[in-house]
Amino acid sequence: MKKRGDTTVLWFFIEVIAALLIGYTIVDASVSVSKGKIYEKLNIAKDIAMQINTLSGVSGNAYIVNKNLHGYSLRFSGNMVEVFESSLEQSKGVYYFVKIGDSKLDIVMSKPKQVVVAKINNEIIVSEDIPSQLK
Amino acid sequence: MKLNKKADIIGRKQVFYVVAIFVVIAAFFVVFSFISSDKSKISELPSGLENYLIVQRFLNSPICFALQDADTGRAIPSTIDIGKFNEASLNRCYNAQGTNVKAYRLTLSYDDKNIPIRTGNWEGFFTRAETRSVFVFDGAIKKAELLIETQNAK
Repeated sequence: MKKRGDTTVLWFFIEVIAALLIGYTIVDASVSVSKGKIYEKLNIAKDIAMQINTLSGVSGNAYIVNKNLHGYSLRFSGNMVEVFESSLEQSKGVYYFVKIGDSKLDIVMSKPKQVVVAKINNEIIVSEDIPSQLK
Repeated sequence: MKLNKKADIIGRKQVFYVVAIFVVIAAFFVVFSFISSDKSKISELPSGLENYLIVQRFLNSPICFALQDADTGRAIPSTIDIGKFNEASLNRCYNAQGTNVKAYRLTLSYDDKNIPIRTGNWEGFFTRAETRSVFVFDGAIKKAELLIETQNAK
């Protein structure tokens, strides 16, 4: 009787641990997927911020076209770029750049096909199309 | 004899389960730590890249300190116009808002002069410094050194 009781307790613990492992797997897998998206958004935000910083060091006029945006929306405000699927979501990709001159970047782009970062006459401009001055 | 055999099997199973549980738990942590660290590396910027790009702005952009030919409008890289080397120009060319971007203190040394300027978000201590050989235009073009001190974003 006693041995059977011991076995039952052992099985109980095994089941508890198995349940915890399964729970952990589900939670962790969802966190990983979520993290993957965060990294993707962060990657885009960093890329665009670096492009703004790079163009700020160019002495003439220039532009860079970004096409791999994976359907995300973008918001430029102050010295910050945010990449997100929905404006309400918590896990946005955010990165900072430093403006040059009188550049005033305050623009929201809803799932754009491309983003063009341009420097024209000491000003950084972000738009969906290549500025006419540079065509 | 039969009872002993059963007890023996149960004993082996117990050892197996204990070992298996530890192995499975360890495997889970190893696999997930690999996934997580691999993805975080994807979005890492190469060390020093951001700083390099910003320093290029100081040296090459006519809106910062680069000497600009009045006739052609051409900017001369790594040649500092002493007339532009002041905090007003620095804060115009490096429009830092708050402490979420790097802060800079630049000290230009030529002849016997040392001219320090700093960005609006500089808070008095530095984490990194480098010296660049540049030219300065002060009536004539002279050799100079630019000490670039950097504070990381907070």
